[in-house]
Amino acid sequence: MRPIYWTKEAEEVDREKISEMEKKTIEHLSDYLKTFYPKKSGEAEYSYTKTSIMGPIGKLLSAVSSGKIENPDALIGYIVNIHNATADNPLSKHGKEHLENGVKALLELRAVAPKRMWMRILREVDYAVYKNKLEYILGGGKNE
Amino acid sequence: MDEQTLKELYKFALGRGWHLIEAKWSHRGKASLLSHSVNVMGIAERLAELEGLSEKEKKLACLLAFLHDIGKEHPKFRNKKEFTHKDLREKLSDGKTIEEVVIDLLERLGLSEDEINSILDMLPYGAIEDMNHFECMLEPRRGKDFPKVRRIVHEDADRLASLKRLEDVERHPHLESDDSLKLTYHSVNVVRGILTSILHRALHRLYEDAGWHPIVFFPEGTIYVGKDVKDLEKKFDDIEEYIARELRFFIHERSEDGEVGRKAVGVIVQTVIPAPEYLYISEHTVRDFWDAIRQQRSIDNPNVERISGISESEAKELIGLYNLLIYLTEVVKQCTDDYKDEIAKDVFKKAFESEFPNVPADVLECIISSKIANTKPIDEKMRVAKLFRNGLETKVRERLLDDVVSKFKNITNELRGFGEKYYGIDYDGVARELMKDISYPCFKVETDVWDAYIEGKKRGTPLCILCSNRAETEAIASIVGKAESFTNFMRGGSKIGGGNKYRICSLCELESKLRSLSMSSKEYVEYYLIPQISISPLGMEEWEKIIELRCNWLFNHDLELSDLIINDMDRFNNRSVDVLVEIRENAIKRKNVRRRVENALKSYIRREYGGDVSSFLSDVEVSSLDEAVDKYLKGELDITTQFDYLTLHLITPNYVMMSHPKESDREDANYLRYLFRMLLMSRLFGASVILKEIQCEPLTQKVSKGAVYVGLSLGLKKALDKLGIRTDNGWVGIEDTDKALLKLSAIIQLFYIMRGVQIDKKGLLLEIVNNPPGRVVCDIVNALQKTKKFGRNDILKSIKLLNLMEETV
Repeated sequence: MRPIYWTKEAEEVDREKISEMEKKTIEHLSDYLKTFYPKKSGEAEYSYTKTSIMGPIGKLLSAVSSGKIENPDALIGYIVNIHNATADNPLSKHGKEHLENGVKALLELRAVAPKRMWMRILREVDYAVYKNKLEYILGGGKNE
Repeated sequence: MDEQTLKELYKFALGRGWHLIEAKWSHRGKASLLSHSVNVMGIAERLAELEGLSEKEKKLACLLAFLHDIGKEHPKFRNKKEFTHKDLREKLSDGKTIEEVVIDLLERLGLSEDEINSILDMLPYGAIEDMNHFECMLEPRRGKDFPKVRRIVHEDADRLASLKRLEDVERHPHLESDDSLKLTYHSVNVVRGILTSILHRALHRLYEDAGWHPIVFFPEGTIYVGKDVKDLEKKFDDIEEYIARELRFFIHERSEDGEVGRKAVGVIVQTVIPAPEYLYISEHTVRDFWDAIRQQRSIDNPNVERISGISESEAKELIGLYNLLIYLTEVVKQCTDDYKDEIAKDVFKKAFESEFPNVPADVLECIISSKIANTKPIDEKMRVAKLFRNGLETKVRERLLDDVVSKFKNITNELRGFGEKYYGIDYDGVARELMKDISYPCFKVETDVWDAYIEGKKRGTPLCILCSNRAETEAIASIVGKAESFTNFMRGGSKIGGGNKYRICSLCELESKLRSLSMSSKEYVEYYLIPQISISPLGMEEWEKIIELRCNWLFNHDLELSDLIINDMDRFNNRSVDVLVEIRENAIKRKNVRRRVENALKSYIRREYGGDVSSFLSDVEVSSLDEAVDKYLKGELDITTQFDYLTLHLITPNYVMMSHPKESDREDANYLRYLFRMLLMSRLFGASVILKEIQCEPLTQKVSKGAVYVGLSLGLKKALDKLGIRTDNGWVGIEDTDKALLKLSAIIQLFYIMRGVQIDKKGLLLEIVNNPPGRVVCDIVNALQKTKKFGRNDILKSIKLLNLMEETV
């Protein structure tokens, strides 16, 4: 008979804490995204693809997932630059606050979350922000 | 209890969430406050009738019984903590004390102040102190005391409804309110489904004939109340007869459906009558048997490639006739016990000669000597067929086969008695076998398993893998399901087939045969509806009323039902019969439902009436098909079509067995859908619903430990965890019923939204649960963009549904 191997989880994971942090991150990033109104070129209609709805947050998440930029200030600068290039409106004080808090929370989350959970968490944050923004748009946000 | 009061009481209890409060819980079963209260009321009502209480006292007893545990609404009790009368003085979330709530209800029901005071005095509220000690509770007394009512409710009805096991009756085998009334019970050790249901019915009848009244029903038995023990003991001698009669009645009733006779038909190149036990039951089965043969390809349109020299149509006619003679020969062979019974032979000869006076004796000789079945050369076959055809009165080719078939029906009916004697079901034998299932009162029967246990098991004695009786036959895979690698009775991972077979007992085999009579599809899902611990006669009447509505077809409308639940869950806080009638009325107006029923009726007419619509309409006494659709949807037509979907197999007060064809999605995704239907049924019937994984296996979960049992599928457990629906050993808890129903409705709605935008793949239901909510919306948006229609409402609706799924209620 084949021997039975018992596996035991060595890494202690505080799932509740992680889920709380995840919620906080989603909240901040969604709130920032509410202040982002994309530029419209001429008569063209707004696009509803995921990339266009996610705006600079899409870029932020891919930068964090790839490890392209790790410094929080650098990340914020990177996003602010994208915001200014693609948005119809300049970054508001309120928006910047949420962005800073969001990036901070995201990086904290990365520090706490185990590696094997990280990609799943990032995916969840990504789609949750997408859903919130879409709900905001269809629910009568200025962006429509 | 009058209908209006009952309706009001259900509305009151459901509105206050009694169906979500566990009134009784232990490892021996759980019951909701609603089901416990209805049970106590039902038992009190019956006892009050038996003890000859006045109408007023009866009404007081019922109301007192219904409200006796109302204190369990208290948050302390909900958190499984004990509470006292002091706690009951606190105001609840609606700003009223429990006493004020009771007074409100009783005033609404039109009770006088005196009556209300009397009930208030007698209410123990389910508090831990003074449960059954009325004298301690009365400070000060406000109304008149009704000691008899008090004893019936608190000391007898509540005690009986709180019993967790049938055997517990033996501790106090008489009623406290009336010493002359005694208690007894019957119980069985294996709950098999149809056979056990027949057994329960037979025993109910026997006890009732002996003057005993069934009062509490468990899935495995019934408690009775009565006086005369001697008469009952005498009746036990006839138990075998009672069971045989009930079995005969069941099979005869089924035989009128048009499916039983068909089961006896085999193909012409193999055993032509593989299941003769179904053929000789009644005239109906004989008729269905020959009708099914008439539709066989070998009769209607046989292969005539090998025949030359005559026209194709003539060859088809002759071969068709010859094949009919083969079937008749097999009937004669069976009815004459392999040509040994001379009397049967004479009866056949006379019948044949009177039906076919001009057919030469050669043909008759061929049938009796069984030459027909063994003739090989095609020329010889053609010769016999020609002889037969030339002797027939009908010459019109189109009507020839029909005429012969109708005459064969007459001949078979003449011989039916002999067929039943030699090949029919041995009712007495089955009854004797079934008696072995009775565990109380014990009957002296020879039990092989018992002997083997006492004397030491003989080496290699095969046991039935389903119920552990002595195995007698080999089972086919479909009886035991496909999970062969997970049983200890077979080498791990090996497949059933060849010499590698499961062995089962004769009763399990009969059970599977009886099921095949009612189930059209081989792949079916099976549910058991069992009482939450036990059920009273009143609860059973409610079940019966739901079943009488005959609206099984409603359970196939997941989309509409889930929509109703999401829009207005409070709609379900009414008496189930009224809820169902309302849903049915709305569904009847829907064009697509009507169209589907019309199609189902048309196919029924094609099958049963050969497409003759007018004779169908005159049979069901309507003037148009549209009226027939109306009548059908209202449950007034006594026919079963494919539209019915869910089949209720056998209804005893002890349990209900239901089945419907399997869905074609992935297993775990199917389970989500089944869970939705089961939760809905649990909510409507106020009972627990169990999903049976292995068909024909006896019911192992006889004790209700929650609202719904779905087994321990890993994929499903993961999905339910994600939805926040707790499961305990495969059971979804009573408290979670509404929450789970709401969340599953949201999933089903999302499923149909996605199907509507052309996202159709296997396991979609599971993906909706397991993917992040944003991913689901993203899929919908992408699909909508492909169709160039941006359905804003669809997206908003799906976001709302996803939020509902995520919510922690």
